[in-house]
Amino acid sequence: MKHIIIFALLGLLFTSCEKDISEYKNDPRVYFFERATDLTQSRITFRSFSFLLLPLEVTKDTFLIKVKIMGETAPYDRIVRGQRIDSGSTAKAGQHYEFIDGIIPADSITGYLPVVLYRTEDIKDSSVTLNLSIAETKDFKVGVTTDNFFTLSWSDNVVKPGNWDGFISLSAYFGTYSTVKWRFIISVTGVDNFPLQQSGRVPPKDGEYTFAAMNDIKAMVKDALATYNSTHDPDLTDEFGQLVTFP
Amino acid sequence: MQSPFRYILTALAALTLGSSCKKDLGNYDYKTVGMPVIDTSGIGNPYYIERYSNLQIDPAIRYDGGDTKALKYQWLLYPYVVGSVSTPIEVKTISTQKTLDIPVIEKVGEYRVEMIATDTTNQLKVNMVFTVVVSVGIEYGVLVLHSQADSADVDFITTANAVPVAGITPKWLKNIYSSSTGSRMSGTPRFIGQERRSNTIQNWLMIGSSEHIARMNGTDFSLIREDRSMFRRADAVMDPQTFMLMGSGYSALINNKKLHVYTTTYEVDALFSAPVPGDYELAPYLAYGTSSSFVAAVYDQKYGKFIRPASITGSMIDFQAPAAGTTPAFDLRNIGKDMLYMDRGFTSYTHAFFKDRTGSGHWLYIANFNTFTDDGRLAISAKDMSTLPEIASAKFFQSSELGYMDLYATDRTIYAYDYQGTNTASVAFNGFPAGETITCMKIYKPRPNFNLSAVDGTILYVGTWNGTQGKVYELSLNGISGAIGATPLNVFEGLGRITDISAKARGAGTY
Repeated sequence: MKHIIIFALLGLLFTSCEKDISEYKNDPRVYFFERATDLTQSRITFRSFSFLLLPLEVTKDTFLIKVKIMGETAPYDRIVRGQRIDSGSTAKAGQHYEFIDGIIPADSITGYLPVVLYRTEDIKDSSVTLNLSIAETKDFKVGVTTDNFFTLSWSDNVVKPGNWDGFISLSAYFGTYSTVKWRFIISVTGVDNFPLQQSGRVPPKDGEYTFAAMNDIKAMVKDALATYNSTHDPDLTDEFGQLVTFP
Repeated sequence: MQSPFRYILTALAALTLGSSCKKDLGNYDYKTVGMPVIDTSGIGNPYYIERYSNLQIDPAIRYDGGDTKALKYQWLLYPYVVGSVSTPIEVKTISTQKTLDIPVIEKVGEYRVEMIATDTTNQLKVNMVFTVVVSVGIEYGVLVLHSQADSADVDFITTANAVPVAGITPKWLKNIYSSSTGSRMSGTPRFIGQERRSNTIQNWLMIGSSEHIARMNGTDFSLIREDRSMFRRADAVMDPQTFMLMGSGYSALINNKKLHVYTTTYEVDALFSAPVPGDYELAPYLAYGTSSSFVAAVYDQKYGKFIRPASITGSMIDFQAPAAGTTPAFDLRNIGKDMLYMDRGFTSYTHAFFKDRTGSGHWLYIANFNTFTDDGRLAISAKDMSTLPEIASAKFFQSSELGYMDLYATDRTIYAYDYQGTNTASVAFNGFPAGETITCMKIYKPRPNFNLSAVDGTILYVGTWNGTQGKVYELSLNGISGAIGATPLNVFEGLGRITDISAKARGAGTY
């Protein structure tokens, strides 16, 4: 009788340890996950973009914003999409940008939300801004509130380099400045800054362009101009109505 | 009624207490253990060694009370560092033999080599540290580019004949390219050349194969730059054919039948720009004797003519037509033959060897590109070589800068060609053992020849191949008559198939 009581008490003791845990119900959500590379992976909520370094033929580009899911992964691709926040946005849908579907790949926890940016005439001397948030899709709801806001800004404008004119200057290689010419040079070389070696008597510093390097670039843009003119009518003409030429 | 557990617990506690009081009465046997001694008598001084040469240390080991046969050895090498450093010091195990005998491939600097002897029976260790200073070892000599199975390596050879310089001793450093970079150069080897300008820091070596090009440091043969990083354009085709720092001061590369040029003493700016523009396909030959006015005189195999860049930034242009009222030996703009070789000859004239495109005619055309004005008078003379012995089988050509004599060689015979007097050739050397064929022939022409002017042009290096190994023959050469000593001055065996040989000179000034 005594043993029966002891076993009964032990049984009660163990049953009292069971905790009532509610079952998890998947509720897939997604949030912006642009992070810096510092130790704390600081949140990034703003990115800018310039068409300047791209060839002139490029009229649009797709900007990818990294996103991350909440909830379980899925064995199939899932759709993410952005939406415009009117407040503070100057970019116009259809004219300056377009949202397209992005993908969270199957079994992945991150993916990219794409925004197609257009290279329009009006951004050659200004920039446009788009504030955006996550749009609900059939696959995802909005995730972390503090990560549901992102700003994109883009442009295509150029500024005359400070070293274009002068004793040791770009004019020796490129001739007279024009915005069209400078834009063409940038589109061909993918470079928008040419710091020049100031003296051949000392070694070039990091990032400096030597006489030989600049001559090679001049040859490159001259070849590119010849190619452009052979495939375009009229030939490349600057904002002053002058044909673009190089010395 | 009291629980029986109470008595059990009490008994266990008493047992524990009792056992802790037990006195240790162990039966130990103490004895003296011997200590191995690394005896550095006579070998403890710092070792000053030239890079790629063998470091040999053979210390005596005494082990009183122990067995030296039970010892195992480990040799460590690590850089000597003064103060603290932010990155870990790399420690390399370089040998596990008692006697150290390994090539030192470390860069120039001071190192420590540590020997550790361990008794495998009791793990007792002793160590000894030696100071090793790695210094420059390739200031003077010749570089030999040789290959095995479609990959190449470089040997460096210094002989007393080639380098009669006080303090420079003969040496043979083998496979220094793979020692330096960790692997052989892939592709079919094509050229090796020096790029040294006295009294500047420009002291580089250029090596090319069908797939790669590499710039090595002229002081310690470390890799500086290679392949596409040698070019300013990312789309450069990788097909280096020949390279030379020319008398014009321009460094010229023929790559994919096009000419690339730069001139600078700053390594970071010593990059090849886009090829000189123009419709041409170059023969893969350059001659040293070119003035700065011409940048580089080259031969367009496509249109059969000599051409040159208009300037360092200009397009390829023709030379001037023959001057009015003159009867030139030939027209630089209309050769119409296939080039076989080009070299600088006597009086700094360029000697160009040609073969007719139809028929068997062979020719030596001599031009003066070592002048500053293209006045239509650069064609000096044309020599008909067609009747020379075995000229149809000639594969290698060299021009003496000491007299009116050139050399050509077939598979096994070297001929001296008197082009100025009798226009005849005679056998100068054919003493190679049976089964060996010539794969390379170079007159020793160190550029610059500071300290070496006495031997400049007086040695002929010949590479041979017998089907299994390559040899380098060092032959004495009379640069005026073309006579070659019947007995080689030196023979170096056991190399791969030799493609190119280049003098390596120190030049003047510091670097």
